[in-house]
Amino acid sequence: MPSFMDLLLQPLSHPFMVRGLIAAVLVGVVCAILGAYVVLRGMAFLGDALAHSILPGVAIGYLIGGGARGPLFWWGMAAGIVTALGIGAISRQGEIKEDTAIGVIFAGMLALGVALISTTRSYSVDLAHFMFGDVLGVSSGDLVLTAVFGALVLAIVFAFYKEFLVYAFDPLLAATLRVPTRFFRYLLLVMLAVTIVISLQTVGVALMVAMLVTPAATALLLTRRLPAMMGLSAALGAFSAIAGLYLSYYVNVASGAAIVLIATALFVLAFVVAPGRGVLWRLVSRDAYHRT
Amino acid sequence: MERLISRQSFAHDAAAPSIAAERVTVRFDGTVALDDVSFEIAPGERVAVVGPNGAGKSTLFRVIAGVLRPSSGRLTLYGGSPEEHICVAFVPQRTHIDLHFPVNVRDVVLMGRTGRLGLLRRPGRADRRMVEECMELVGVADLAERRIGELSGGQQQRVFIARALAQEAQLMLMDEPLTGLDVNSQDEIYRILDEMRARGVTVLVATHDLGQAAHCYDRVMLLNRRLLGIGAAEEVFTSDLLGQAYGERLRLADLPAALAWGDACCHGEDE
Repeated sequence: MPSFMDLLLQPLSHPFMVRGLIAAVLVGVVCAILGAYVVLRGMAFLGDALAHSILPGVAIGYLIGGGARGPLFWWGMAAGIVTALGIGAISRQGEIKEDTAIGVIFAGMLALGVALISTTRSYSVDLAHFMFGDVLGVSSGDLVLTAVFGALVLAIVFAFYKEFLVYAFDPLLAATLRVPTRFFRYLLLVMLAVTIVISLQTVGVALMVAMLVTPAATALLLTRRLPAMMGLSAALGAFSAIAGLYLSYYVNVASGAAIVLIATALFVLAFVVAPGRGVLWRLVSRDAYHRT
Repeated sequence: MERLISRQSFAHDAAAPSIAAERVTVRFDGTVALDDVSFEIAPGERVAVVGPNGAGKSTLFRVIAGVLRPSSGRLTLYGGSPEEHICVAFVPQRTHIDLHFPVNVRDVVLMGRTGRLGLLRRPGRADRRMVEECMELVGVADLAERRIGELSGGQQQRVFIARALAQEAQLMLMDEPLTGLDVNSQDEIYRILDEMRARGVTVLVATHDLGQAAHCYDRVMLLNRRLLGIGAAEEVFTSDLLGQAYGERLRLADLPAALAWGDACCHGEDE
């Protein structure tokens, strides 16, 4: 019978597993920290839509490049930034409600992406990779891009911490403090697009929103201040990535799905037992209230 | 870039009124929210802004705060345009904020320093000391570590006032600050507002409480898209003008009662 250490070390003998783990942890941390703002600003649906809207860009790159994986990153980046700015502009004009506008763009772009990919012969395999990720296919070049852009996003989050905090807490207050709110709104959207693109290969389009929202939501239940929330969210994101990949390796389930399932399990746990705010706590304190 | 990094407040013209509105009109998609409103308010004045729902109180506040441009007309603060000022503080209604947001009282008060610091600068020791002083002043220093959502309504209002103080606000706009507060909390807020008046801070308060408006403010402003009147309560709260603002509902019969209500608010001044 193998020891626990063997179980931990054995998968690391495969270089693709090592690359996959590094990619998943990087992505897990960046998504989880930016995700704090996604949760606090109520941008979950927007994040989901943005992820799906990247598909046509990736598909065009895929068709033009004849299946080469290298340029896809840049095609996805371009599509993501264009969509982010487009959503920012549409929701500003106010004729159509923001969530309706997002819904229209989201489904339309997804349909376009699926239509484009369906013209290729290896349709179902390719689509599955884009939709659900292929973390074990991460190359060293992908890793470098992920690390560079992930570091850039985190550097911006850190540099503009106090502005993003005020903007997320109360945009009207931010405006009266003469924080350039429109600039920060677009900056947040573009950072979201970049984060989604670097995460594309790890979890894919369909499960992206879980990486952004779930660790941050768990952390929100367990912490009282934003720096702590971001720190715990990052730890949960990294842990989910590692535990998910090991689960995927040993139980032979899809890696993106395994990562998201771990993150979801942690959320459910926190939702039930979070001190002061969990379901269990409320039941107990209600009993205590009735007894007195 | 220099301007972004250390932003100074627009130099105040000492002789100018704190707010001067000239024929300010705001239209949204064809409906008129504010119609030809002109008035002046002096530094240090405390003015109650009264009118029915939809009378344009929040619209007026947004114009004064410099986050909404009038469709026509002109509004100046201390002789300059509102966007140039970082001395305007907005004290929000309780329902306006997310009570689950992970910030404690000290974090919220520190937010007031954001505009003064400018981009890419972190708050220093002087900023932190100022935050502690502002919390002392409004009596929330012992709540500094509490999450904002855990406080009572009155405590939250005091925290937002502390934030305005940390912002070094010269002009404070308060939207229904006393709604749902008990009498003691209201008294406490008025005590703080007296202190702010002593420092020369101009305060505008939107309220539905005609009695308090009449008793606890230097002047009242009666608004129903148009400015129906601004001045002493006895001159503005006439049955004719109140009728124009609220329709027949609040005419003659209710008026004396309305004006007699709010004696509770100014204990300090009556004693």
